[in-house]
Amino acid sequence: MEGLPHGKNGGVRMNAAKPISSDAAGVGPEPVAFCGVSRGFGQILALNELSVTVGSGITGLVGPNGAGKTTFINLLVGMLRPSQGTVRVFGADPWEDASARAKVGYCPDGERLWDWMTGVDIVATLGVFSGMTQADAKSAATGALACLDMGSASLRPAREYSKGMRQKVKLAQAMIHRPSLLVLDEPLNGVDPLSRVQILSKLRDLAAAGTAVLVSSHVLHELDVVADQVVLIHRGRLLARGPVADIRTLMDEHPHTVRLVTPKPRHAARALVGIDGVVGIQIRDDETLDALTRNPSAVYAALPSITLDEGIPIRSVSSPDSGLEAVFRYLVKEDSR
Amino acid sequence: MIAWRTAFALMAKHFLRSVVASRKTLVFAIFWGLAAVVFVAGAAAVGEDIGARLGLYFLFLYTCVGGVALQFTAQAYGLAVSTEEEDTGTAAYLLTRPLPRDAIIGGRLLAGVLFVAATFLVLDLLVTALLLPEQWSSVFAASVPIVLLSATWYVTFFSLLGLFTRHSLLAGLFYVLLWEQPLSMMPIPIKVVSIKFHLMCAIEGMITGPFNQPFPGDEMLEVCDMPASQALLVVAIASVAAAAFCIVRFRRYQPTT
Repeated sequence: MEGLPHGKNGGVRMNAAKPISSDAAGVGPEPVAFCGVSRGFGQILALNELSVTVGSGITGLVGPNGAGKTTFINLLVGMLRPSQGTVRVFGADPWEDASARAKVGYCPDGERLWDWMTGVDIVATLGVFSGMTQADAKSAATGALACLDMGSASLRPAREYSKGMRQKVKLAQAMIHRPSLLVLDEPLNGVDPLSRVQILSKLRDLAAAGTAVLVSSHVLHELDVVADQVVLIHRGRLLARGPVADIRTLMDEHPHTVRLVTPKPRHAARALVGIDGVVGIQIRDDETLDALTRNPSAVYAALPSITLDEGIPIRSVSSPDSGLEAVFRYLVKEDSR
Repeated sequence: MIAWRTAFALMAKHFLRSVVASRKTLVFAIFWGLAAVVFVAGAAAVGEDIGARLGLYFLFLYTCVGGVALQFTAQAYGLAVSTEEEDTGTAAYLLTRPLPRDAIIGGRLLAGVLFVAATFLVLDLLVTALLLPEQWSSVFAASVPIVLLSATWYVTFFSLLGLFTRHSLLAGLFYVLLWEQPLSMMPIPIKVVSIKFHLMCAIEGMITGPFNQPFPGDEMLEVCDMPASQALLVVAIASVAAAAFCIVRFRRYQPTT
């Protein structure tokens, strides 16, 4: 990780850009601000002096099992209290201040619901617990569940629900009171592909309307598509934060892979070797080659001339390791050394 | 933020709804229903003056079975007040809402007390009506206050215990070995918070003296060498202290799952 700025907590803070801050715009405090937060469970330190802010838009929370994601979320929603440091949600302590919790919608991990209640009843009840009137909560619950395609199933007891239906009820209850911050722990677990698309689209709409959304998920490629930025946690420390592309750009010691599909891979390899930043070429098969480069822009800029001047046809160009999954894999591997 | 009183009422209502809908309540209802049928049939077969005719053995068995069942009832619902939501994985829905924590536990505690008190009360009235009809006129002035306070005490005690251990078996063992046993060696004003002590009073009351002496007639618990007013005071103080401790403890409560 040489060449990368080191965060206060020993993690590597890779976001080159200034963190998004609504303070600067005079709108109010950051949706989420952790400052030197540690939290232990007996001898285990789940979070270790973590300092991070989460701004508006959609933020992905990523980390391997046991990284501290759930502890992070539990502190954020006011279920846990930090052993050290401060947690602020819109400038208030979610443990002490119920008004901070009123601004948060939380969809927990797992499938647990009050099985004796119907879906509408659960969502409406939790709407009332968030300060809505009974009538408003009931109509909002019906609307939210209809929006998630629950149909008449929302009037059946939750004990009869599939995993996907439970997930939808959990999502609806998190959104019912129109929170300013939506915290979703594995919201896509067990959801069918069509509903996944619906949910992700809904999250985009909410983010566009000004709701800050924090999503923890193992489905990295889906997070990659939807998240404006990610927070990577490993061993209770912040590993990186920022837009995936920015993080990837800063990872100098891992060359980027530019994959070309061409009927003349050997000719293409020869043409690529002299380009600035290219550190290696791998011919994968008769039609595919990977160019390993520290300067992918130079490779992309050279492609038209390779095709036109040297007559090497290129059928497709892709970047297989620029996604969140690859970034995550690199960083965790690096941090584990 | 939701007003404290509103939150308190919402939590009480939610707990009562969950209790009424739970499978546990169905099991208890079946058990109590069967016990009532057996009891009524037995009383009808024996006829009047059941206490004198059946003697100590039957009454001991009856009150012991009833007492143990009462303990299980109080334990089940007392523990549910503080542990049920964590056990079912739904605590997050309550704890992340803008509800004051003391209103959450306070509302649930009140609902738990009301539910168990109602159960105990039905049993008390049934016993009096069928077993001791001559004492019916004084039942609301005598055993009813004791029954209500007992329910309050048992539920708050087990709610508090639930904030230290979520395992009902551990809570039961703690109750029997570390609570009832040492209490039995204590002097009278202290041992009144023991279920066993209440049972002994009930048995003796049924056999040797009037069970339902008008309260605050000090004769009521004289069989156990203790004035009723003193017993009520001890149980009331213990209940209030346990409820306060429960609320203070729950304010700092952080779920482990």
